[in-house]
Amino acid sequence: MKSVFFLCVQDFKRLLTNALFWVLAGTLVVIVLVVNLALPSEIAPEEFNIVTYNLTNGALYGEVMDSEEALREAVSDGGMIGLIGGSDGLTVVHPGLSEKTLNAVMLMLSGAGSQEISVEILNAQTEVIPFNLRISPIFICFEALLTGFILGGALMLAEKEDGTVNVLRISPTGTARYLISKSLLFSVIGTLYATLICVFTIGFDIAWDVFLPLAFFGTLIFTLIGLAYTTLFHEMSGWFFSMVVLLGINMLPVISYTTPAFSPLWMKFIPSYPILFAFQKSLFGGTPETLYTILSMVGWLIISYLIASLMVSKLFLKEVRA
Amino acid sequence: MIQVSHVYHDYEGKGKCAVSDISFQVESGKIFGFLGPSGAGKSTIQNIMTGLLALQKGEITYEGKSVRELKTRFFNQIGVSFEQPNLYSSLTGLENLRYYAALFSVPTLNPMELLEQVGLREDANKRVSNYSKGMKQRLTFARALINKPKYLFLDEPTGGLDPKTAVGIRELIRAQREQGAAIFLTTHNMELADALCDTVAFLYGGVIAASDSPDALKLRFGKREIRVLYRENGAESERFFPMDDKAGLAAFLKTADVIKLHSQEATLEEIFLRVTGKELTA
Repeated sequence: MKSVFFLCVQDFKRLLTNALFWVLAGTLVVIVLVVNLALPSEIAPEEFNIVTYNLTNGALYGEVMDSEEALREAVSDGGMIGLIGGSDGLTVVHPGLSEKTLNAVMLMLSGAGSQEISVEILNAQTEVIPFNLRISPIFICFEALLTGFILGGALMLAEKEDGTVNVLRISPTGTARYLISKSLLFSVIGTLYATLICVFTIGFDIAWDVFLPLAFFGTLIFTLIGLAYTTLFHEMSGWFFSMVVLLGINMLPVISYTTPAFSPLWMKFIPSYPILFAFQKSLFGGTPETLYTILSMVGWLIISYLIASLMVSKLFLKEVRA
Repeated sequence: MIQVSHVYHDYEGKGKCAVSDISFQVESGKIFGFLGPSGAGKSTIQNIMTGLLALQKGEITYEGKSVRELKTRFFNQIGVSFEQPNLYSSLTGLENLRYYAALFSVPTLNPMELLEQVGLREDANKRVSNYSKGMKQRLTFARALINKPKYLFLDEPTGGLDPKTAVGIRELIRAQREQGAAIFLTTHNMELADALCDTVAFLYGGVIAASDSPDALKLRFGKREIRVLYRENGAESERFFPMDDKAGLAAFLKTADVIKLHSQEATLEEIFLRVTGKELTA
């Protein structure tokens, strides 16, 4: 254990001279500034007026225009939504509003003729979470927790490039100690990173008993995946490019986070999915899916360790010993 | 003792072996010199012996135990000084040794004392990226000694060193021998091999062309003659005496104005040339 701690310390010293470490440290500052100063606390709803032409009871919906050209002009210049009646049905003309807004219009048209659409909030929580703070879990999950993936890979590549991997190969360190020393260091760094983002954006009033284990074990999982992945590369450029693609896939759960209605089953198998939603619950409250989160993370921890162990042993340390 | 028996290695698996039928042994408290030009297969053998390459054919044993059966803890007993210094350049010399020492599960030497021995004490806290090539070489050598290895592998340990420092490294290697280490020295430096090795093997084209103690090789391949350089009538002349013609040599020395005496034994360089037909170059 003492030697693992010592290896962690020496690796940390190596990190201090690594440019990527300082890039990530700078990114932390940028994230805090963006969340607090650049992102709005609420996003203004889209407002629109309706104009109609040749529509039965068109006046019920909005202003009735004299001609189709006048309607198109109102849409194009005034940002309105146009409804044109015809023998073959209804045409909706709009200047590029969101699908969400259009759905509301369609709902209105298919209803009983009422323009009033009531909204019911299903979540019992009454306090509305500001938009900028809602984004924090995304930064924590896809920046803080990936420090191990990125920095661990960078240190490993450096060991390949300067030949020190050969020194490790003829030492009694072994795969397990190598993985433990690296992943322990980055799990601590990732947890610290996540904590700093949280404290400087959301504050201290969160469920720390959930947040800290999530950050630690989440970083651990991504560090192990990163170390396994990096064994396939010998130089920084190829590794960096493909890493961006891989991390892009890992970020797909953001779609479900911002559009809760879109949560297909396959999305739940991406390791970041349970972590992202568990962070949301630990930061803002709500009913956590404890069993699913624990099972997913334990599963990913076992899988990532086994894969990392196999790949580091066979491809990186190339152990030929018994 | 390290026993290497009939080792072959084929990198591509196409029947073209980088080394063929290599056999030798390195005894404890002895230095075995593996001499040959670049590409001869020296590194291949060393890498198989240290576990960096898998043993394909033949056998290598450490105290009778096959290299195939060695456990991770065995690596507590070996030290390797690579020809190309492979160090953590962002760490200091002292941190490099501490880092490496942390990898072992046996007692290790004091890093600062080791740095003192290789003349790097004053530069201990300087980053390795600021070291000269010779300093890196010395640090690599020091690193190989940190776990008090029972089996020491040295690849060109004095390469790039100034003569004074090289002498110091030679003394440290001798000290390791005195402490009972089995030392495998890979080099193309004949002078170093001659000065240090108890046994040498000439590796050429992946096979051992000759192997014996340096003295035995010199006897076998050298001329057993004494060359006498002397002055006669104001001019320098030379005369050769067979080693066993002691009486003739003694009689000549009594009368001649001798300038120099030379035994005509061959150097290892000349022997290598004679055995392989090629000059020994890096």
